Amino acid sequence: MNNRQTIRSLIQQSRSWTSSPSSYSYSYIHNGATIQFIRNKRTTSAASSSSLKKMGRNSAESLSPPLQRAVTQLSVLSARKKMPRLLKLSNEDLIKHQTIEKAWMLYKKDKAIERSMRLQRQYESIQDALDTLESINPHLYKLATSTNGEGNGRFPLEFRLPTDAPPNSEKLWPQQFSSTNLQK
Amino acid sequence: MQKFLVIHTRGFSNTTYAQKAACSIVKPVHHLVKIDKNRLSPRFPELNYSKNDIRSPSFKPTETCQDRVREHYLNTIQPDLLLMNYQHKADIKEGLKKRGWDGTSPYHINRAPRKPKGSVAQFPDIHPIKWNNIPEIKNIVLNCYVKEAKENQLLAISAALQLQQITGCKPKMIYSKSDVPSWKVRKGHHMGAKVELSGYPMSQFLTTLAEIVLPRIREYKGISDKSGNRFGGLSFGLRPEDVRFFPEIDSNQDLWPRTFGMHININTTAQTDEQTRALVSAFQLPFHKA
Amino acid sequence: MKRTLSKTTATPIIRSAMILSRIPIVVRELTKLESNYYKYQSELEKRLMWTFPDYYYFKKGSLSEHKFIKAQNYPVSKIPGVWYPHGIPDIKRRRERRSKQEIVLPRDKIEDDVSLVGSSGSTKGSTDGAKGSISRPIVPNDLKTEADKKGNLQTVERELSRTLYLLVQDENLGWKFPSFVVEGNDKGLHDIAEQAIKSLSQNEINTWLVSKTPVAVFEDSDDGSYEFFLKSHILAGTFAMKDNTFKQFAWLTKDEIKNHVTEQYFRNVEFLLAN
Repeated sequence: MNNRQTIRSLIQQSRSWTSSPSSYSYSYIHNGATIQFIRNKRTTSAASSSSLKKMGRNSAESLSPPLQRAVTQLSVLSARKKMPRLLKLSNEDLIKHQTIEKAWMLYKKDKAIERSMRLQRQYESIQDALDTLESINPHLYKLATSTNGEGNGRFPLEFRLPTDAPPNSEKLWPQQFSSTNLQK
Repeated sequence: MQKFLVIHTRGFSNTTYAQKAACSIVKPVHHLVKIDKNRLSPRFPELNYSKNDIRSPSFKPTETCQDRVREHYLNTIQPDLLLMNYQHKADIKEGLKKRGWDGTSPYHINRAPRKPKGSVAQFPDIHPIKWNNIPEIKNIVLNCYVKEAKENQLLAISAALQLQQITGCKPKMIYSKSDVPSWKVRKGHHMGAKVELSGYPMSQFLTTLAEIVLPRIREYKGISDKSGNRFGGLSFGLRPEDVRFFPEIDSNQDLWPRTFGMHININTTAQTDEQTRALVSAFQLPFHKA
Repeated sequence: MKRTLSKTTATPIIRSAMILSRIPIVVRELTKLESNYYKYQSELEKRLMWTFPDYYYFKKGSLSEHKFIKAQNYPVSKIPGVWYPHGIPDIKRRRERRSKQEIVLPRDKIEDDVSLVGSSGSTKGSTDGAKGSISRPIVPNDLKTEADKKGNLQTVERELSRTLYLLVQDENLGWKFPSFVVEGNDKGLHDIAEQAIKSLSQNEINTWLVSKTPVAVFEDSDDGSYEFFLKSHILAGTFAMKDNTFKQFAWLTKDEIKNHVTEQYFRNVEFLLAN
């Protein structure tokens, strides 16, 4: 959505219109001064030419505080006046960039293939292990596959994500553990 | 009784529809497909590049730093999930599908198939977990719908900014879809915002949630053990007072006289609820038994 | 029917081995390619970032705003009649649009300014520069722990960025994963391995078994025994050997395991181990 339009519509709603808005130009009175819009761009009327600069400031400041806050919030969200210039790469820079990207893609692809092959080997190994177990000891096989399927487990909360830097040495590893405390 | 053979390939309406060209090729051509004329114009050649091309105006680098959540997932969680979800000699479990007619009546020809038994919609097949379909998180959608926005539009703007501050991604505004007189909702009102996270912002949000926000909520029980939408999605909510624990909001209390609750939808590639919960629990999100 | 059949035939010895691992505590160290690529991409990102909306975070006329503005090195705007060899400045909202925005965090004691390059504040972490506690430099802890420096292999507080595995040294068989003979049919493989590991340790340890399903089998052609491997993670507690079942134990990374065990053994388990 266009944030400028929203701001404008909010301001319009909060004030009383003095003349009916037309597509080309319209105006309304605010703080005793007439503000004119031509092709949706605000211009100042001749009546307030003496206080031209002052009025431009005042019109923004005299919004009600919640409205002013919303305008600020919209401006934080919008790209207007905050966009940097577009990148302009020379031919050489473009080729450099494309080479880097290509190398990175290849690197990632190699790693992904390696990972996938390892997982496949693991899968086949699990399959092989269960086949063997079934043939040599069906009872143990039954126990090993008993709850797999629907009631499979959860990761425990203590299964921590690795952090960017190590924790302080006293908190590095929970040295003390007793199952009796855990029961409570 | 005479039996009629139902041949599904010979349809009178369906097949022609499927094979219909998108637009006529007989001159004069009247385009039925809307054409983005910006792309046709020779004035803006950079608009034709894909978004991950550096020449495109909407280019944004995606991999700017190490993603510890993704790496942890690939290194540790993925092999564990493979083992946890392994089922020996498992076959594809077929989901509910639409049923054909037995062909005892000539009217069965081209009649639309019956809906599945005990369900309105069809369900996808469930494939056994192998090395190539281990569940993973696709994206996270934060949805912030503000009820009071129907009276005060400014609240919806605040909600959008709250999402932007928490996630660092640009939110999309949401509008009420239809008139609901009993809720006093009018169609087309600005009601809040949503944001779809994937990649690094998603990992960042997940860790903030699991390591900072949820542990600080007083008497937080956890995500319901029954949550899940049967297709790999899982949702839970945060109350307005819980949102205050996000560090971005917490360090700017005076800017946030009011915060907004939101729904968090985690979409995964898992095929059952149980798989989804097992996957999500690996990211330190607690579950509670109802 | 099947069970009786298998009982009549000679039952081979079954062992249940436990791959007990400690997951990484710290993220993996980046390779040179990765760190260079990330640096390049983050520079691009900073260049393309929106201008930091400081007017939102600092109230107009407040002390914090004053301090923030004072700390910034704002670019000079264009002056007519001046020749700019590096291009005419294009400044909007006090930002040079052709380059990345540099934001300096104000500090109470101006000794060495820690400058945050790029408008990180526009998206995350509204930086209240007035507080000295926030702007103090962050020094990460050393990745090398004391155990690393001493070469102590018997603690989990080593090699923080790698996955460690518990290996034991047997009198006859040398280094291997701890394995235990399965006797009787009343307990599953996982029960036997879990209980044996816990009884092997002096202190109580908290472990989490990934699944009851064995992840691999290793058939010994010499005595016809089978060794089934189960996966588990240690979550808390210190492992220390109680009795003399095994000679000694060690927490090893994948690379170190390669040096400790026989080549044949490593080839069998190599694909199960994470980097």
